[in-house]
Amino acid sequence: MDVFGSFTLLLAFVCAVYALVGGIAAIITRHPLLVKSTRQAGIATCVLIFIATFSVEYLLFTDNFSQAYVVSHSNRDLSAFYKIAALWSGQEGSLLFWSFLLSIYVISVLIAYRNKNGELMPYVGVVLAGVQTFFLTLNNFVESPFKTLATVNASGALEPFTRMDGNGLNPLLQYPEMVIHPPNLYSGYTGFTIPFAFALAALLARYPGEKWIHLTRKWTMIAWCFQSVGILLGAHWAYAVLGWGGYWGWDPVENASLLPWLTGTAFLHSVMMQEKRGMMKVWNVWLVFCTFMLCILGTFLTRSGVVSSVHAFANSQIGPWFIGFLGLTLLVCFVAYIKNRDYLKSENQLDSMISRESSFLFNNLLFLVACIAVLSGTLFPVFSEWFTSNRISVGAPFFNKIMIPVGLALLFLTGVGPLLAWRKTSGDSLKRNFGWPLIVGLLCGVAAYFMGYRDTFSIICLILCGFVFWTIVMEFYRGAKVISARTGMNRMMSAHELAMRNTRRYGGYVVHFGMVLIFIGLAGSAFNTDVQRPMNLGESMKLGPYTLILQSADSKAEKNYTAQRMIVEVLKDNKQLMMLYPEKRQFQGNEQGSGTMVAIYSTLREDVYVVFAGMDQDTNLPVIHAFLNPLVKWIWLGGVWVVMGTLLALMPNRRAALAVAAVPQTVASPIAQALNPSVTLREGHD
Amino acid sequence: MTNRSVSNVDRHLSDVVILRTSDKDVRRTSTSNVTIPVRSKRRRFIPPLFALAFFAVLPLLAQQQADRVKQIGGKFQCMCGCGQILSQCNHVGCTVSTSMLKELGAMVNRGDSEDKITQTFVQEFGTTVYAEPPKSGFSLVAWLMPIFYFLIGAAIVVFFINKWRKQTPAPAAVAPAGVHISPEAYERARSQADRDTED
Repeated sequence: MDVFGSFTLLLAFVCAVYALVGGIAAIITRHPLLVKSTRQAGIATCVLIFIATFSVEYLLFTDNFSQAYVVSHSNRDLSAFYKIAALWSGQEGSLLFWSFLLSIYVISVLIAYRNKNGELMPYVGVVLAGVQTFFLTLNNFVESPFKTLATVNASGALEPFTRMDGNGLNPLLQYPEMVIHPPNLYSGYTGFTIPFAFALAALLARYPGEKWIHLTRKWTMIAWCFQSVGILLGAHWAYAVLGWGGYWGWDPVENASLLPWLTGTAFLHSVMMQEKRGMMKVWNVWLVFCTFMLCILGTFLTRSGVVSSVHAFANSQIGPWFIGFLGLTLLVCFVAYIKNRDYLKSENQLDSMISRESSFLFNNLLFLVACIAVLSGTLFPVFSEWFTSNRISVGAPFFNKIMIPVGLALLFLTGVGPLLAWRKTSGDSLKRNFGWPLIVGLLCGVAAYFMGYRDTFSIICLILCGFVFWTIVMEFYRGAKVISARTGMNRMMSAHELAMRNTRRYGGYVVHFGMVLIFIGLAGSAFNTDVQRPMNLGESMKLGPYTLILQSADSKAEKNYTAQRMIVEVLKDNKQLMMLYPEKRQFQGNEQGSGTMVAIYSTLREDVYVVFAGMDQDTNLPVIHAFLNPLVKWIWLGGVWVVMGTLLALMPNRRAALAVAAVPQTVASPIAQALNPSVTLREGHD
Repeated sequence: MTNRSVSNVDRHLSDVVILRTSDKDVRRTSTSNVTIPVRSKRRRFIPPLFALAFFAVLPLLAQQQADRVKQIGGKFQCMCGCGQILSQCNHVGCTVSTSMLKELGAMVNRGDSEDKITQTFVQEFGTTVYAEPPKSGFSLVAWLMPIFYFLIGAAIVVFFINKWRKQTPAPAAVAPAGVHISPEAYERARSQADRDTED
């Protein structure tokens, strides 16, 4: 199977090169057969990558320990669930997984648009084939997942060699979320290739109008949704597995995942300016280009080890390849822009400073400032080493100081944007729209203050959350009121109908609501407290209003690990709430360490987060580290709303249709006929 | 030189005032003008009072030192590679942060200044020990860059808003009553309005 997989991967590379070179020839010659054959070569590339990926999984599932990748990332006792995840746990597998996910997008695009957009698709095919060729080069010639173990025999020749068992999977990755977090994040990274391909293709082909924007909107939103879910799952994994008590540490790899998300979000907003007003065409094209390049940069940071990170699961020499590819991409984009910049001539007109357009401009400014600040902060240690020979680290305090004000300003614009009209907003309209949201926001701030949340940024954040929340409520309420008056439906049904009639707009509001919930959760982080100490059995410790009693300890042997478990009783006001079971796991297999399993009692108000931090060296007592983290659950709930909002925005609009119904002709006179139209308007659906 | 400060204890004595001098206590009775040097009986209270004060203040001092360790520790990174703030590092099983915190605690107990502690850590671990770049030298660039981006970006946005506002044609005069517009123009205006109010 390894030879078969290796061969299919090589064949995929050949097909991708053909799709790239043949595609360029097809664009030049405009030969229909060549266009068709290169498209089919693109599809064949994807199918071959699928086969190669399944070959790796087959080797993992069959415990083929003659393969270096299987030995390094799996063992016999590893459960089937984690054998799937072993595919992306190592360098070679994760790069193949990149190709695999990209192929899903590519094959979907090539098949979905096979008979459409004939002028544009050959260009799209070439760009996609170019990206695939790069990754297949890495898969085949730099980091192949099909390396066979060999030993040198007595005669000095190489002889295949099979190990009895493998090293097993990195303990940090043996957690259910790690099976879904990387695929989500990688789906986000790879997904932004599609809007990039369409944008570059439209520029190269000088494709008329804004059609490429319409074509790529759904793909951009899908990629954005995957990226958002990937980031949140990563945060939850860090929270629940690493035992740090936190979910976001501004680690370089975390930052790398945030960068394309920031530019992607800016694009999703600014694209509306192009659709509605024909503005910012150059800006949008470059936003898409930058988003794609940041995705490649993110993969590079995660995989190359250029910056130290707990999440960087690999160190290798693939850095120059990525730098080269990034440079080439930038060069192609730049040349395409210079040659065709007149095609991007915008109809930039602005009626007023106080308008939806201005709010989008400032929104984009903040997203870009956030992106560049995070990028420069992440790479500053590398730059400082270049310039001063001293590596100066940039940690969480720096990013918090920069990003908290930017985040709050963005939250403010989230509330302000929908209150402003396109073109111009009158003073009366401002007063009418801002009054109640401001009052609700201030009430939220006062309530937070009296609930004991006394941190300045947190109070501002909660005020803004209340403000944004109420703007969203008002938007739904006003629309639902109109529909309710017309149709007689109740307000809830009317709100549902409203959302279904303009899914993009109201899906966007649902996403904004999710972001409000996430910001509420983030505001809570200023009030985290923790206690750590060695505890005897039966001993208790106070954590805010909770009392934790270490009741007993036991150990359990599972197939792949042995867990030492503490049994901690949680009481509040002398009433038992629940038992928590923090664990420390010792994984079998060589080169494996230990891992933690945090126990969390989570409520909307706060999380009681208990870690078994090992045995105290002096007293040999178990050390319990307990955290009280307020409002964390709101972050995960917010994530769910973000996904729901994106799914809603992806749905087609249900339109109020003109239903034709015969009207009884009771009056025969011509005047009466003129007064009674032959059709009546009725609210209905397509 | 006579120190004329009067302790609270002394105020309880109606007829006796202790006047402290640098080398001796002097008792002066209200009934006689004879001043005789004596060893104060209240002196017996002073050591226990000091002891009491010491034990009362001890936890406060310990708390103060712990706070200082936490505050100074917030300026460094744990050097195990986890990238966490030293005083917040709860990386399970991390021995590096434990030893760094121990060292920091010893320096704080010794009464070392923050600058001295910083110097010691930088000498020991290099500049990577900083949790955030120092606001001096080349590191200042890291702090100035985001402000620079924002200012440049805001200037560009304001510039373009003003430029685009100037490009906007003056609004067309309102059609006089009774003037009909063509169905095509009406449809165009309607679709424009739809687009403008859609999102």
